[in-house]
Order: sequence, then structure tokens, then C-alpha cells
Amino acid sequence: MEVVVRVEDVSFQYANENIYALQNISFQVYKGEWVTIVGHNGSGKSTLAKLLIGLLPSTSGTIHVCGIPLNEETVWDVRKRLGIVFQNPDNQFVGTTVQDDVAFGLENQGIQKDEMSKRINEALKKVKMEDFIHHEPHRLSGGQKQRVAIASAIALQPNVIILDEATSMLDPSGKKEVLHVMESLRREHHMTVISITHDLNEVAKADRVLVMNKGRIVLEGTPAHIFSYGSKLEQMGLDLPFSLQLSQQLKQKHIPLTMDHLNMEGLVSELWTLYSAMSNTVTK
Amino acid sequence: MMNSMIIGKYVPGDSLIHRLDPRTKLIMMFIYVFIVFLANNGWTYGLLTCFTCALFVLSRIPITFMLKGLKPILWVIVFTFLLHVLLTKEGHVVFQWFGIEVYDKGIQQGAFISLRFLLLIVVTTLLTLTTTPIEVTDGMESLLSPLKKWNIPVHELALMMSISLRFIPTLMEETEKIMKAQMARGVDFSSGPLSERMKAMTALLVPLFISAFKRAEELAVAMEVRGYRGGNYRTKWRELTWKRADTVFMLLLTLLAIALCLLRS
Ligand SMILES: Nc1ncnc2c1ncn2[C@@H]1O[C@H](COP(=O)(O)OP(=O)(O)OP(=O)(O)O)[C@@H](O)[C@H]1O
Ligand SMILES: [Mg+2]
Repeated sequence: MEVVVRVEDVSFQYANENIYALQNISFQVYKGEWVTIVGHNGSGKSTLAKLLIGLLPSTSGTIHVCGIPLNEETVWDVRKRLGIVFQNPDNQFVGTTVQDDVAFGLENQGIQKDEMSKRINEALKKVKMEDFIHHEPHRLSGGQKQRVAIASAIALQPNVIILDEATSMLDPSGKKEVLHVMESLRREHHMTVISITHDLNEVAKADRVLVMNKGRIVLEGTPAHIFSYGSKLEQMGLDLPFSLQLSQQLKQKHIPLTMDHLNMEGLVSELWTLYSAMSNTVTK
Repeated sequence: MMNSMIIGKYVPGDSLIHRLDPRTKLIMMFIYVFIVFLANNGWTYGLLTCFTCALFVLSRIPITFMLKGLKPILWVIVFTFLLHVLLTKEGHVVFQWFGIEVYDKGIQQGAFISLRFLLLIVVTTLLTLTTTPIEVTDGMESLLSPLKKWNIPVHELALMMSISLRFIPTLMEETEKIMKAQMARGVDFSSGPLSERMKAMTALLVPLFISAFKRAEELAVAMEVRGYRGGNYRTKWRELTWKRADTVFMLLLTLLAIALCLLRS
């Protein structure tokens, strides 16, 4: 499989701090993969994102994006291959209307007007914001603004999209909207995604999960594998998804569940099949 | 409230005037401001008034919007009129009232000067009513682009303008939020002596400034990662296109200027 992002032994220290914000980070992201990075507040997730996109220079170690080594000369090249969506919906909306905002990045790349208009429409359609093309940001909800931010990123046709807690400032419905859009992008357009979050609920959707703690990657694996660590995750300051906590507690009460469920749907369906099986045996 | 003051002036529409290139409108306004001073008799003022009224009718802006725009300066116009009526001592006396003599020239002068003032205000208001601030910014950028030769950062200034326009509503919202938060903590913004109120303002301004700086920094990062490196290689999404109507309007204005020159006494 094609490696899109390769991080090798990267460490980073902020200028006026004496501890390392990142220590010996190594990982790879493959084409079409959805990788989630989780960690408690201050574990270094945003620092890592900033390093990837060349906003901060790594103290040691190397980063390759699509085979290009990241350094001062290649930073603009690398940025063309990465799109990033930040946390605050308001502070990344540059244009006066939705279309202007998506156009901003295209203008920067010197793309001609016809092509621009095509890409703006495509990108807005992909995030289901095509009906809002003339809206000003103050007439949009947080979730809608984040969808525009995603459109602005994908209009530039990056190889990877990084979401740095893109849903953490949204209300539950806004969160759902944005995650929905991301899932359709992944399903229909095979986008490679690095999603950074401290919400373990978002982890369940990933192909692979990296858990960060105090500037190091401490665990790596599929969501199910990661969740099997249970209380260890809680010790690292992460909240387990409600369905998982409930599954574990039900098991302690000797309810014969087959697995720890990562999402509500799975848990609910197993519970009612169990219930109907039980009531059947009682009536017989 | 403030929102509507600054950006809500624009009245959306699809009239001939709305569709004119913002550059045309800016140039026309600029020239108009000068040729207004050519008028000095009934004919020339009549012609100017007709031209201005025609523009207004073509814009299809409801008259109430225009009146709202004129309201704050109405008393200035009235005051100008009265001043001329009372101080001019030429021609013959029309009437006397408690020893105040009003001359016919005074009335004429007063009427002309306040009409001139009114026409200027109507035309500038028409510009803001039919042109979005962002169009004005684009028009300015395009008109001032020759200044780039002298290293004046026209593009950057225009971008600054458009970003400020975009952030006005956001900062307004934030001001309101902080005010409410501080009021909930017992800060009183609306009563008490001036010094107390000034002190209360710091409770508003300090958080507002901190957040504005933070926003600016995050916005700069967001712009940079989307490849912003200054104006040199950029293309423009909002292209201004000069249409036939623009040429026609410029010609009309030229004709008006010539007519004014011929008709003035
Ligand atoms: N500009 C800075 N200067 C100095 N230290 C910083 C700076 N930014 C972050 N840090 C420190 O680096 C560490 C990692 O911060 P980072 O923002 O990467 O964490 P995070 O995992 O993104 O946290 P959160 O979940 O809160 O977003 C923290 O200990 C933080 O205090
Ligand atoms: Mg962070």
C-alpha cells in the first residue's frame, strides 16, 4: 500500500519550555486510510498537526508527505498535499461569503476562474452546502461553517485531510453533520483522513487509532483493540464511549453480552435479541 | 443594531444601478461631487436634480430607505438654508419680521446650497444602498492598482478591508456575549458616573482585545495553510467586468457635465 504520510522519530520542544511536547513519534498513514489520533488535553496532538503542515519545525526526526521530505524549501509543496480543518469555526473563515471562502485557497494557487467555479461547486456539493453558496458566515451554524472549512480544504484536492478537533466546538447535531460529511467523503471519494480528537466516540469510525499520552504514542491499533485496554484509557484521561461503559457494566451484572459494543446501535440490537430470546425461554 | 448600521445598509436588488460595475459607481460618484459645483442657476440645478432623480428611480430602491439615510443630516440642510436666508443682504427685501429682513437672493442662495448638499447626500447614499461593501472594496482595489508601481500594498489593503468586513458581525456578537457575561457578574455598563462607566468598559474591552488577537493569529495560520503568500501569483474569484451599461452611464455623466458647463451663468 502507498504511504502518504511518514513520520520518523520526530521530537519537538517549544522554545521557552523545558519538556518535550513530542517525543520520538513515528507512524505512517496509508492511502485511503482513516487514522484517528486521540489523547488527553495537552498530550501534543495539535503540536503534531502543526508539525505535519510545516507551521512548526521539528526539533529532530523527519516527516515525508507523498514522498516529499518536509523542510523549509518544500513546505509550500507539502501544504498543497495536505488540507487541515481547525477547531474554531469562526477563525478559519476568510471569505465574506461561502463561495469566497472556498475560492480563497484556489486564488492562492493561481487557478483560473472557470476551474475555480467548477471546483467550488463540486466541493460544496460534497459537503452538502451547495444551497448556501451566497451566505455570509454569520448566517451559518457552527457545523455549517466547519463543513465549509472542509469544502475549502478539499477544493484544493489534497492527498490527506487533517481534522484537528474539528468537531469539539460544535453542539451534538453540528458534530453529527460534520462526521456524516466526513464519512461520505471517505466512502465515496476514498479520502485519506487524519482525525485528531479527545472524544473516544469518534474513534470507533477509524481504521486505525493512535493513542497519545504526554507527547508519546503509547498505543496503536484498531478501535476494538484500543478499547480492550478499557480502564487504562481512563487513566490517561480519556472518556470511554457510553455504549462501551454500559456493555462492561452489564457484563459485570452477568448479562451474557458477546462483546463490548463501540456504538449504541450494536448494543441495542444485541440487547433486544437477548431479551426476546430470554422471554421465549420463559414462556416455554 | 450596530450590524444594520454598518453592513445592513445595502438593499439587495437587481436593478440597472445594482448591476453596474462598482468602479463605474465609484468614478461616477467622484466626478459627480465635482460637477455639482458647476451648477449655479435654475437650469443647471434643475438638470442635476432630474439626473439624480433618474438614478434613484432606476435603482428601484424604496423611498423609505433613502429617507432613512437622509434623516440624520436633514437638520444640517435646514440649518444651511436658514443661515443663507438670514445672512445674505443682496437683492430686494421680500419680507420683514421683527426687524429681520429676508432678501430674495438670500432665499435663492439658501435653496441652491441646501439642494447641492441634498444631491450630494442622495448620490453617496445611493452608492451604499446599491453596492455591497465587498464590491466597493473590489472596485477600490482595481482602481487603485496603478499605485502598486509605487510599492503601495493595494492588494493587502483590500484584503484587510474584506477581512474586517467579514469579522464585524463576529466581533459584534462577541461584544454582546462579553457584555452579558460581565453584566451577569455585576458590571453596570449603562448607569453611574462617567468615570465608573469608563472603568466598566475595561471589563469589556480587555477580553474583547485578547480574543481579537487570538482570532487574528488563528486566521493567519488558516490563511497560510491554504497557501496564502501575498498578492503576486493570485488569481481573483470576483472579477469585475465592464459592461455596455457602464460605458453608457459614463457617457451620460460626461454629457451632463458638458450641459452644465454650457447652461451655467
Ligand atoms: N505555543 C506554545 N508555547 C509553549 N508551549 C506550548 C505551546 N502550545 C502548546 N504548548 C504545550 O505543548 C503541549 C502540547 O500541546 P498541544 O496543544 O499540542 O496539545 P493537544 O493535545 O492539542 O491538547 P488539546 O486537546 O487541549 O487541544 C502542552 O503541554 C502545551 O502546554
Ligand atoms: Mg489541540
